Amino acid sequence: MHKNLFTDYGIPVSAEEERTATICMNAEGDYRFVIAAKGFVIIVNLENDYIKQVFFPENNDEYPYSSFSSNGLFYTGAANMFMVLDPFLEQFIYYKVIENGEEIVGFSFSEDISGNIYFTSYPHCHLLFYSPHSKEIMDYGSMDFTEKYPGSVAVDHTGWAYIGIGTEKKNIVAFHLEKGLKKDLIAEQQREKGTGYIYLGEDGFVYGHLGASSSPQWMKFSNGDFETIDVEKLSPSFYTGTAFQRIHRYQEGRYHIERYSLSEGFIELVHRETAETKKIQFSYASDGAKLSTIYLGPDDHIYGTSMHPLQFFQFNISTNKTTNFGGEIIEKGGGGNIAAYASTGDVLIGAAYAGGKLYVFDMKKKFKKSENPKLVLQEESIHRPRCAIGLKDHKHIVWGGFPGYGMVGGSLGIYRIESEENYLLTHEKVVENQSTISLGELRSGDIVGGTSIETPGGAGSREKEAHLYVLDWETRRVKNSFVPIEGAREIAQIFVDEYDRTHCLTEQSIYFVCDPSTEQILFRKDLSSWGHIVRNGFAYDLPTNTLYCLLSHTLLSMEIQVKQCVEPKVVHTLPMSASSGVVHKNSRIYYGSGSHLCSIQIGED
Amino acid sequence: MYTLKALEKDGALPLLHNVNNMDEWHEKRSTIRRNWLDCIGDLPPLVKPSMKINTWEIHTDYYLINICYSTVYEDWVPANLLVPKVLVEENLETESDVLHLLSSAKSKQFRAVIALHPTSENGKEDISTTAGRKNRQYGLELVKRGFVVLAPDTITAGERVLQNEEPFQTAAFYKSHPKWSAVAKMIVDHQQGISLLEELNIVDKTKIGAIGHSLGGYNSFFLAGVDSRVKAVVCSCGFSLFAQDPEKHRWGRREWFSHIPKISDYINDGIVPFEFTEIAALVAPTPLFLWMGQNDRIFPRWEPAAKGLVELNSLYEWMEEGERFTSLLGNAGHDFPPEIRQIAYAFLDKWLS
Repeated sequence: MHKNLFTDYGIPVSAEEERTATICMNAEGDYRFVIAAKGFVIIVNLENDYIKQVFFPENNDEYPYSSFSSNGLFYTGAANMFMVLDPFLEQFIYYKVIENGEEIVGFSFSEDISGNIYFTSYPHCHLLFYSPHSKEIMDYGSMDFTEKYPGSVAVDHTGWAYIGIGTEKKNIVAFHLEKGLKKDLIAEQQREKGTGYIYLGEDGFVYGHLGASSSPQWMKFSNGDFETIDVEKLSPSFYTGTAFQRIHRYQEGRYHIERYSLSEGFIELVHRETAETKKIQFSYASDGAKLSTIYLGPDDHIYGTSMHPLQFFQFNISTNKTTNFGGEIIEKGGGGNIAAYASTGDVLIGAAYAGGKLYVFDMKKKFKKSENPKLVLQEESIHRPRCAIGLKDHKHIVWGGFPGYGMVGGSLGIYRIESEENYLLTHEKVVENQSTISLGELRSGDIVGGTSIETPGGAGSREKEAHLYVLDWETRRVKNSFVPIEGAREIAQIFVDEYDRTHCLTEQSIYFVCDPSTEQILFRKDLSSWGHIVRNGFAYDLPTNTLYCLLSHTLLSMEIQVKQCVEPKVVHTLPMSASSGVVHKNSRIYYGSGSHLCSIQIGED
Repeated sequence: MYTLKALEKDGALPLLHNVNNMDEWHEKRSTIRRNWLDCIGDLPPLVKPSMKINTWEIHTDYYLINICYSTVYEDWVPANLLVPKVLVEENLETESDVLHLLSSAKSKQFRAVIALHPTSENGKEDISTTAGRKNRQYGLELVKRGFVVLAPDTITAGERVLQNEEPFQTAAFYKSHPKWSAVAKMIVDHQQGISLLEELNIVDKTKIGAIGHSLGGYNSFFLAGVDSRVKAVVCSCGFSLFAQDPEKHRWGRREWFSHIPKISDYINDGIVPFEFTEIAALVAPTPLFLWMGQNDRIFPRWEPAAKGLVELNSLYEWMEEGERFTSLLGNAGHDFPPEIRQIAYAFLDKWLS
């Protein structure tokens, strides 16, 4: 018996992603550049390059979504904690855990002319108020009863707050702070998929648009209403940059921030008067970036990416050495991750969030930016890929996942490797309003798929139960589709054994085996006492005909027998819990535990 | 010998009663020790420690090696041995790699602790793995602070729960050892653990301590009271007296874990041969850290125990070793909170440096 039970190989990607930034200037004209990140902020004195890392209070290790600067103070939120930092004292001077049922506070920020801070929360679009003077927090309640993402907010000098909301039915809401009067400013027929956008102009007026188009119709807001205006008449915003690269009050201080990256640890600056450039490089303590799915490449190395930021790494099983290729190697990778892989021959294909990007890796060649891997396509209707399989014909990859923001039901992609063509089956042709998140191939070549009714892009779910379906490979049509487990919202994992029985796991860790042709459930067991499901938890060992099932706290095994389904057995309780999987090699199961790569032995070498 | 009535009314005699000089203290200490050993059924001579390596785990900053080591009467003690990871490149592929790691003469020598677990059916896992309960993972925390940690299972817990038996059932033990006690068995098993640590080249044998909570707490000072190789002791929520104890046979015979059967005979006669302040006093002048909570539901009578702490402090002061004794009393429950653990670890840092 090999006795090295468990190994933690450490952190393949020791980096964090910036989650917006601000410049904070105090009354004396002293200023700091503050970057928000998961669990901490980085305070930078741009004048003398001094860096200070300050962790969130109470070991809060959650992601911030927005940050804001007012009167030299820095405001942010992470999970349901609202926080105020004095970047000159280098400490959080106020924080409060807000118990209003919301998951994320500080989704967007603004202030009124008196310096009071307004902020929004996810997922019920609450508007809240904080008085820096009295330290009072007030909750005005939900501003939109169906949408989840209040991505921008601004307060004008007439006592109205305006909230830009997305994603399934975009909206802009006006709310009178004293009277409590709330108005949807967007006509119902205009409330399509997208995001309402709001900002406070330097002239004190609020501007915004409904997004989506390349030349949006701009609006100017006042007294709870708006007029449309030409783009030339807009007042500049206090923000620059997009998404998590956004910088609030970017025009303050003596230096202009040209570029910055927390994951790479640099800030490039230009002096506003002398045009002199400088680069500040810095490091910080990081628990590492959480790992997404890992996969055994055709070259017998493990490959994977981290999430927030996306960095691509390789783990050499024979030497236990990790190589981090960084983020640049994955074109347009950004804060996403490769969530599903498939391979055939020397080709490895990765399907990535965000945007449903498909990358083709030629494993015979060296990795090179913009060349290998090659970004071959982007498919918004598979914005969040969850599964991919290489078919036995060695010609096709089938992949699926969730659609983009505000959409319901993801497509199924059939990618032909040689021609780089991607054939799409929209959700209406597979299982309406549902997304394929697990896949297998039957002996006949037909495809078996498992769905999810979830809508992580902010839309409302329209279905009640997840389906299993069989797709006729020849006709590309769904032969049959059924609900295998009553009440299950997701069929999250699939493994098809040599007898065409389909082994599945639901989102609640219910393991079941079914015959997809007869729809008969042959075996069912609740495994939830051993943990929750992880991304890609099934691994098959051919010599022993054993299916391994990795749950968050336990590794289980199921012996595949001809005549019957057998009870899962506990192989090991995991010394470090699993969050992503799974690679089986040399009698070991490799998995991700947060930001760590680990392995646990399963038997004799 | 004390009557229970007298203990209830006035408590035990002061530790320094009729003690005017160090010789008289040593004489008194010998008497306490003799009574203690007589009551627990004596301690047999130690045997040369040998070790079997079962499995190991490689973590980011430490190794966890599951072993068993020999103890008296041909018994074996399952334990987790936690070793700080100094060389990132070190790869333990084979058993000889592990042995090399533990016995290499060139190795850096670490301070060590024997970490004793509380009443948990998972035994050593509770304190030495991430599966342990909140505020109980002191073994794991100490290896990360640079200590070699030996976390053994006590009898009836963890890997020592007998087949078809419930945890913490000592009936089978007493069937084999009718004249002995579970307390003596635990002490000698832990002494063997100290012997094992001394055998390891990576351990600085002059810097071995003991730490525990609850069951592990009193086991740590029981051990240090009879074994001078222990150079610092931390006891969390394990110091409790006979005086005013609502559980009459807590230390004697009972339905489950019976510590010292003979105590029940004494108690049935209305007497006890010692008070636990005296047993803790056997540790002096070895550095001793005691923590207890006023809302401890396991040991609810904190007032007499607090007086015991004052007594112990007086003894250390009298020995001119006052700084070697730290006692903390808080309003916590039967717990080992993070802030107290930090103070406890600093205490070990200080006295094992």
